[in-house]
Amino acid sequence: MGRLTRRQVLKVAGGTALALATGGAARPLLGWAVAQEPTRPLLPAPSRRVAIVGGGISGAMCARTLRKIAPDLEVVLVERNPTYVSGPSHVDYLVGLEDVRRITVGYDGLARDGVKVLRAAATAIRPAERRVLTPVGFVEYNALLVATGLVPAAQEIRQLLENQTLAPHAWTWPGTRELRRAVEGFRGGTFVITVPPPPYKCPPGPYEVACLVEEYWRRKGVRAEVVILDANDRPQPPLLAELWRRVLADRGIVYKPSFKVVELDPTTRTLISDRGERQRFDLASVIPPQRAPLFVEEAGLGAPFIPVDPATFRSRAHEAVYAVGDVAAVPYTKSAFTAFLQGRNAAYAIARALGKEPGEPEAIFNQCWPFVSSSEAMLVEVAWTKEGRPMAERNRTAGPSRDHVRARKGWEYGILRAAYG
Amino acid sequence: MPAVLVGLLQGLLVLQLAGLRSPTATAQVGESTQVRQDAVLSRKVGAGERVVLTVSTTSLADISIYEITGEREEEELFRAGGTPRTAKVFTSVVQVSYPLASLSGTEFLVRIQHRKPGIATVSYQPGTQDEAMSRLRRGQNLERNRGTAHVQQGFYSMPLYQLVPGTVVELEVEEGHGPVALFKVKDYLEVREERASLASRCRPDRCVDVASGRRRLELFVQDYDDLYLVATGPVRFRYRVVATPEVLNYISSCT
Repeated sequence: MGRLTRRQVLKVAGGTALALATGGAARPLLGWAVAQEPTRPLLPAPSRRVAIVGGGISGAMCARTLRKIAPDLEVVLVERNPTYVSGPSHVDYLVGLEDVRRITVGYDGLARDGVKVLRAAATAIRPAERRVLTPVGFVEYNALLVATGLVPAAQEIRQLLENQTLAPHAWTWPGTRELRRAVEGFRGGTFVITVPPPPYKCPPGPYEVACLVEEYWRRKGVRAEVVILDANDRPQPPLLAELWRRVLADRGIVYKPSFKVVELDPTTRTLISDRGERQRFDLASVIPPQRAPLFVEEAGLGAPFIPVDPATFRSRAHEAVYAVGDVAAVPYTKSAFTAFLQGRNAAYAIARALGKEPGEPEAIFNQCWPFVSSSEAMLVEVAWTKEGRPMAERNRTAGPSRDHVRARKGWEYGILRAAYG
Repeated sequence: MPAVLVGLLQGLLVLQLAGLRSPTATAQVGESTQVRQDAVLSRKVGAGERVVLTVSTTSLADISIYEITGEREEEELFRAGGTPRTAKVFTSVVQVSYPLASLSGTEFLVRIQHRKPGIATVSYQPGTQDEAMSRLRRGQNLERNRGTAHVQQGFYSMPLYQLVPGTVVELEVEEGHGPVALFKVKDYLEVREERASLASRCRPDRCVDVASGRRRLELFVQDYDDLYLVATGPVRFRYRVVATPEVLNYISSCT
């Protein structure tokens, strides 16, 4: 019988899609399964293996880049979902601008490139033993890339965790579907969207949602007041603050800066700020603060994000661990654009660490094309040196244009192809 | 410059007063000056600048700082003594130092409201954001803001927003006993709503309390959570927010 640890309490709620027997005994208890530390390796002992946890844009791009620049390295991707729905298109999907089939990718392309795709949920990381644990066994690695993305920390807003159906948001795929249903069924009243303090992923996102739903309801003849409660003192990102103010004012969207939501009162359908101010809503979208998944924090890799070297993405705590994308504490914008480039660049650093000479990747930069309507978007562009220093001279913004929408979609389809094949 | 960086570099608002026509007149920047009556002063900050304001008073004052954004009603409200949402307010202070920076150039209004008769001395130190960043890159610390507050009685609180890992918050009791605490939002709300006492939520790493032998503390911030400075009077305390070079790994995260 395997060893039982306090940490290994997992809820097994039907349908994990994993048919393999566990490496230790599992004993159901009141609907919960007390799982033992897995004792079975899922793969033979590694010689030069890179394990990647998380098959989003940054993880997938790292995997594909490694196969290209260092084909003799073994690359294993641990991903719990069968497909990935493109994050940048959550807001498009919300108001019917995008078909889910066009923005959903599978992992067959990575498999064809020689990436071993393990469909399993990572439940723990053991940096000292260089293992990633799953419910059905463990994977050993020579280098690990953590690309899990972030999880919403609803518990940081009072009464939100138990009332999330009142305030869905588009920062997860299930939340996006839920919010879309709510948007489609809205019959009028006050819609409130909240913006958390930074850093959070996709800084312009909340304002995009506000603009898109305002247009959606206006076209449907639904009388809606759209309100933004912003924990920040200006719209984000700061380079676009002035443009955003004008856009929001033009659309009659009520903008309340310095309103940091700390509580949701479900009885009165009210959002409450840290100063005690109150805002009533008929429909709300509360975007909570975001942080690394708990198993990342429990592995001692860092919280709320994983501190890494911004040039190599190597963990400051464990030399064989790397982190990219939203989960990494880096100077780069938390966006799909930089996540894609971070994944690429981390591949070079990992390959070098494992004895290859892959050359040098380009430095990270960011481009965002935030929607202001279904047909127009703005542009913001920033760049960093290879060491992660901001290059203010490269800052660029541009007002709404149809060209920016075309650029946005072209970029998105392009990176999905590049990362997933 | 990203907003967090702008916030990080904010410090002293330097106001130079060329001449004050009336107690509530708006005046352009001039030389360092003394203000005996309530006043609203203005200072333009150019793109890339980091102008540090210090206001020191011989008694006690409320200092409010507002960045003009084009919202006319807000500006009028501020000039009339009200507090727009985005105004930074420092109540019951003996001294406050706060840097203002701007990505694209802007104008700030500073309001001085004396709680007791006294003389407020307003001075400025010019500088740029590049200079501030260079200081951090050279491995030196950078003061973000500081102040000395005198709480005569009752509950006092002040938020410290936009903290990033690598920031240090210093707190020291100068007179009285405290406690004075640095709370995260959960404890702050419980104390403010009187569901818990200030003393019950005090921990040695978060509170100065002379009765317990802790007159001073240095808190090393390791996350992005806002903090709330909380005290009950009578107490006079000093606070200081300092960026260490470590913040360079984090401050552009909000770009």
